[in-house]
Amino acid sequence: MQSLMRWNRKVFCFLALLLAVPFPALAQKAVVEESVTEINCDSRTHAVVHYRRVTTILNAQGASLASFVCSVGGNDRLTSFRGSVTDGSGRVIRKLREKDLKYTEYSPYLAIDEHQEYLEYTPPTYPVTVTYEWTIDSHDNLIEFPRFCPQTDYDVSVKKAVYRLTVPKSMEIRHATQNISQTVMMADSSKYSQTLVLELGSQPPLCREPYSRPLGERCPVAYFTPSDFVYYGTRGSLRSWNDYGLWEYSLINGSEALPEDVCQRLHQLTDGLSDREKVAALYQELGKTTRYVAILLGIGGQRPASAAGVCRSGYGDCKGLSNYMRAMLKEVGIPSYYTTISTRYRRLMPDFASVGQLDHVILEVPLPGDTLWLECTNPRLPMGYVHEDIAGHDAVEIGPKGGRLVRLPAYADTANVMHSGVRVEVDGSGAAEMILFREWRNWQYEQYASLLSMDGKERKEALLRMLKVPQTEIQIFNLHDDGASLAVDAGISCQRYATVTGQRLFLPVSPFRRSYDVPSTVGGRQEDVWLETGYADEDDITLVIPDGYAIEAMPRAVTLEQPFGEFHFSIRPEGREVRIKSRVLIKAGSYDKSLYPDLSAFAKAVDSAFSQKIVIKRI
Amino acid sequence: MKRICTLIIVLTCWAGLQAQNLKFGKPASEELNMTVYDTDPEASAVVLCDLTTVSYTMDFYNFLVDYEVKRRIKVLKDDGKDYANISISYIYNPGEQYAQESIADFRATVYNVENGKTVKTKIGGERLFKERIDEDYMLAKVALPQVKAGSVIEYEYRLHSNVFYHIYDWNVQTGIPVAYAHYRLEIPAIFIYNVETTGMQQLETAVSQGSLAFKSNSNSLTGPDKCNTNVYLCTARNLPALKKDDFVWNVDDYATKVTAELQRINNPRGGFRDVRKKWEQVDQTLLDHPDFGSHLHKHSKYREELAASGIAEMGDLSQKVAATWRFLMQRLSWNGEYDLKIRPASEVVKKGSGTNADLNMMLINMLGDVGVKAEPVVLSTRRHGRLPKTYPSLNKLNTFIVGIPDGGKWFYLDASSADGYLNVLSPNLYAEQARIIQKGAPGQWVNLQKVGEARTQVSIQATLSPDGELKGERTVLYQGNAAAEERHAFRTATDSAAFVTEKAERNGYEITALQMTGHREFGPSVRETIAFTRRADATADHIYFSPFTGTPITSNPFVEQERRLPVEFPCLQNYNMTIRLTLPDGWLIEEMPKSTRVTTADRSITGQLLFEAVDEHTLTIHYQFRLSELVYTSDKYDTLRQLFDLFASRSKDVVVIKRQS
Repeated sequence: MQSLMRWNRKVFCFLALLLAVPFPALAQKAVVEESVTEINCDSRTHAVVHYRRVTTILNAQGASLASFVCSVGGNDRLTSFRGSVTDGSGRVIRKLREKDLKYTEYSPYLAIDEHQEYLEYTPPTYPVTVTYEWTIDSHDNLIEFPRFCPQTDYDVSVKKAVYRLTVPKSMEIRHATQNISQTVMMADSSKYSQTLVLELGSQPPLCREPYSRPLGERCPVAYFTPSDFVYYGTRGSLRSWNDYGLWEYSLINGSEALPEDVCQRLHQLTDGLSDREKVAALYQELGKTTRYVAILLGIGGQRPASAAGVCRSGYGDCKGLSNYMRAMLKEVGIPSYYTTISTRYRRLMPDFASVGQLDHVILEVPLPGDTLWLECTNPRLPMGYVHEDIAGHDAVEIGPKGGRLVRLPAYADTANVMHSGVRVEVDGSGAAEMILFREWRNWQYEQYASLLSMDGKERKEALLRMLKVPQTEIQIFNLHDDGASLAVDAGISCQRYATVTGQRLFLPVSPFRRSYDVPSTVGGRQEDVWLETGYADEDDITLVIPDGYAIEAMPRAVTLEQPFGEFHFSIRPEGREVRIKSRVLIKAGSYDKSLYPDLSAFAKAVDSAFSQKIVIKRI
Repeated sequence: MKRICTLIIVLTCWAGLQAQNLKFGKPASEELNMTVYDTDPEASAVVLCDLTTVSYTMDFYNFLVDYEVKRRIKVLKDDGKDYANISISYIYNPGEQYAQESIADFRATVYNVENGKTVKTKIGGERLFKERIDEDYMLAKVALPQVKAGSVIEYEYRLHSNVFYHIYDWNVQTGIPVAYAHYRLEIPAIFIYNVETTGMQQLETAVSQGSLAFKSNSNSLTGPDKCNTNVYLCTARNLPALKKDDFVWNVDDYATKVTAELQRINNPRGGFRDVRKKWEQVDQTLLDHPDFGSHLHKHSKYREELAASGIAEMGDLSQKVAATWRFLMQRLSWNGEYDLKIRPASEVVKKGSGTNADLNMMLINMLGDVGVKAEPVVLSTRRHGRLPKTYPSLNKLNTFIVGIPDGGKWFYLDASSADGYLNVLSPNLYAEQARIIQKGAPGQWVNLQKVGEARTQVSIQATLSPDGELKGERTVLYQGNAAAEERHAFRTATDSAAFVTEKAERNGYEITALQMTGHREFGPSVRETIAFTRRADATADHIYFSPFTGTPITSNPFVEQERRLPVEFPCLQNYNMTIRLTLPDGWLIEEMPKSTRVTTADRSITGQLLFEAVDEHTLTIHYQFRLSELVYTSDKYDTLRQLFDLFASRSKDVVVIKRQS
């Protein structure tokens, strides 16, 4: 039998044949005609920020860009707002004023010192040009200035963007840029003030492409911070991550005291244990006695609740819970570091410290030769498991001597394993009895960890959705979890494993549904290929053929080796059994965009290998 | 005999009540020590006791509705700790007279057993965080302290409301099971409410009379100090957890609850004022309403432009309607919201967009301007929930569509259904009960579930080559909701490549040419012609190939083995496919799948797969699937599941041909 799927590059050229379909010529949805951010900062504690955004929305895909939303923190005030909409001919079709704004304090948190003012606008026709101008007055919260980020979405180009920051001459400003070739110009604007200006010319739209870096890493951004800041009455410097750490430390230092009776209980729980066991015992205690509830109050949500406060309430956010865990560990003699990290950005700028780069807190426990990273907001995760939002990310360890940049480990591609073993016994009617085992480790474990919080019925349904064979019923089902590993074993009967046609049965080589997305390769590729996480899927399948049947045709073995991955598929008859072994290995990393068609072909080859069938015929 | 029965009932109730701890402030030791809820051993938490009381009081000249809520919850697992995060929504709009509600006397206690002793942690109303959601609504949030697996939590609060004509639904069934719940609703006899209990679980209910003393001002002349009341008592026991479901539009349609809607107000000095009594009165309320009926059948803002457009002179009704619809869509867009209330046309025109109600009213009036009669058809969307069965309700209506009479028939149209056409609406609008209301004529119920159908007609001509390449042409005529789905897919595709790739992927072939018509039009159908190729598995003397290039059912969505809720489909389906395959010379059919015909007992689902060898080289296949009901109750679930299983497995059919020796 020939290989079931011959990959044919020809298919990627079919676009030329599609001209009969009148599609919108371009996927571009909007043009930012003008984006101006003008900041007048007259002291370390006061600034007035004026924004002007002019956006032409080309089609319905860009409709959401016509609306206005602005988050206003406790020490900010929206002092002016106006807007207008003009149609394609330049005629003003709508004027927007402050009274058109709606107000909401809705948040997913228990409490936050912030509200939103917004305006939902649906364009009646396209194109329309929407202009918004607004002013925000900020005081005592200038830990950083608004960032410059004119390209906020895919498929949006920018014509002109300007950032102008005027500060007193006595105020030293640090800045950093990303994906910007222009330099920040500085000039005196008066005897007492200086102005930093950044102007960006035209920017082509960024396309959303599968397997590419996130938008936040691809778009132009500039950051500005004062070297020395005053923030809700606290003072600090941002000349380095070390400086930043000193300030963060001042917020947590002294907040680790715990009541006497609690200290006694912690000792009862841990005395006599090894250090690692102590950490495990307290991490378990944290999970049992607390839950994640976010209260973003207190100097703009930056200061954690005291350890005693978290202990008393039994809840806290990432800051409060991490600090509480730090306090408990300190009580039993184990040092640990409060560690700030970003769940969005993998890399922090090493020479540019700013608060806005960070959005989460974890706890670093440097046991000798074995540093543990604790996620204190979800103690359902195994102790020290580095989850996908932080694995491999930069972080700042906060200590009494200041901050230090560190990098969290990431699991090796081969450690993120899904291993499946199935024995399928087929009878002459096409029905089958299956004994199935499937295990997920590390990153793969995390993808399926939701099984743990399901009830028995939901778990069975989840397993059935992993199978592609119809008319199945689960007879036995067990779920096991052990650290960062999760496994199911099940006994399943299936009324129609094989397709029956007269004298023949067609047996799928695998009962599992596969989801290797085959990315499209039509159109040019802008970006290099970016595979964020590597993993391995291993299958070991035994098909038992019914008596009285012989194999008529079988799929071929496949071996593919590419820089970004490997695929091995073997199939071997042994008496009445057919053994199928396969392994898909995806290697995390960045690859030249010229390899993109190969990636697509690779996925297609894997996909087709698993959709093959063995043909058996009655003797 | 009768007496014995009564006695048994009384005893049973008494025994049942004994098992419940109705006293707050002192959880029973079995509640404190329970580790699992026997009725649902997997529950992460359980409501042990929910006591809700609703009563009226008189505050000088105003009536107030007072709610008193007491709840005791047992947290059984770590996942259940989140039930200690409580949110209470209420109305508070300082600018409106009857929009003042407040929360009072909030208090909560968390009980934990530590070293054999019960430890209490108490908090009060000072721990509530209040957040403004919009002009009218507020949300009070609180997180109870010291909650662990094993904790018993108790909380209570009062909600005072001056919205005297509205009583919140008692939604007793939640995401966790409820062991016991009791509702006491006492309404002064001057207010006549429709009180309805609905849901899959039975409530024990009783109605009795009581009396209410007014705290009225002694100088007041407003009436007697005492009035009669109607008291409704409802008790729920062992309600199962209500979980999200993929196959019903609004799971609350099946949740156990008590609703009350004001029907009329009796004047203490005699006489009464009907608030709402019959659907005819709801019709009239709407027709007289300043935000509804007063906009109806007026000249539209576009009257002159329409007159110049020549639409009125078109001969065919559907042409006229379509032209008017296009005219509207070139000027205004839908803002994504459904509504019943209409804003002034001038405001909508100024904004350039509106709710479906704004646009539909505009459309009715525009149709009037071109000489087409059109009327509003009011309904509750499927996502919003069914209309109550036992009483008419204006509050439960949330939108309307446009009905156009044509002889004895009606056509339906909706401005939000951008990919639709006449009688092709968003499936969310296919309500079982919708009401045509018209001035000077009685209202009329229509079942929109019979209106929308996805019709697909596929015709395939293909040739198989001796090396196993299947090459052919696939022509599809999409009509009704099938055309709408096709237009939607086209409109929302990121680009042409994505649209075509997705189509090729889904059907498992390569597309070498594609032509479409009607995919960007407001019209009855979309036509598509695809040239495709696909490779079959071939050995030296056999070719094994699937005769299908795309079938509507390739896997069974119904994986649950048992089901309590019904299955509600989006729209009716009618799929027909004819395939004509030409086999290579020198090859013969060796094996062919069996032909099958299936029909359900109620004949609402029919399907067939007919394989026929016309001659040595030609094979024809007829594939048909038809679904002619939208709702299947749980007793039909097994049949449904088996039927989808059958079609899913038949989508993998294989034909075997052999080289002639």
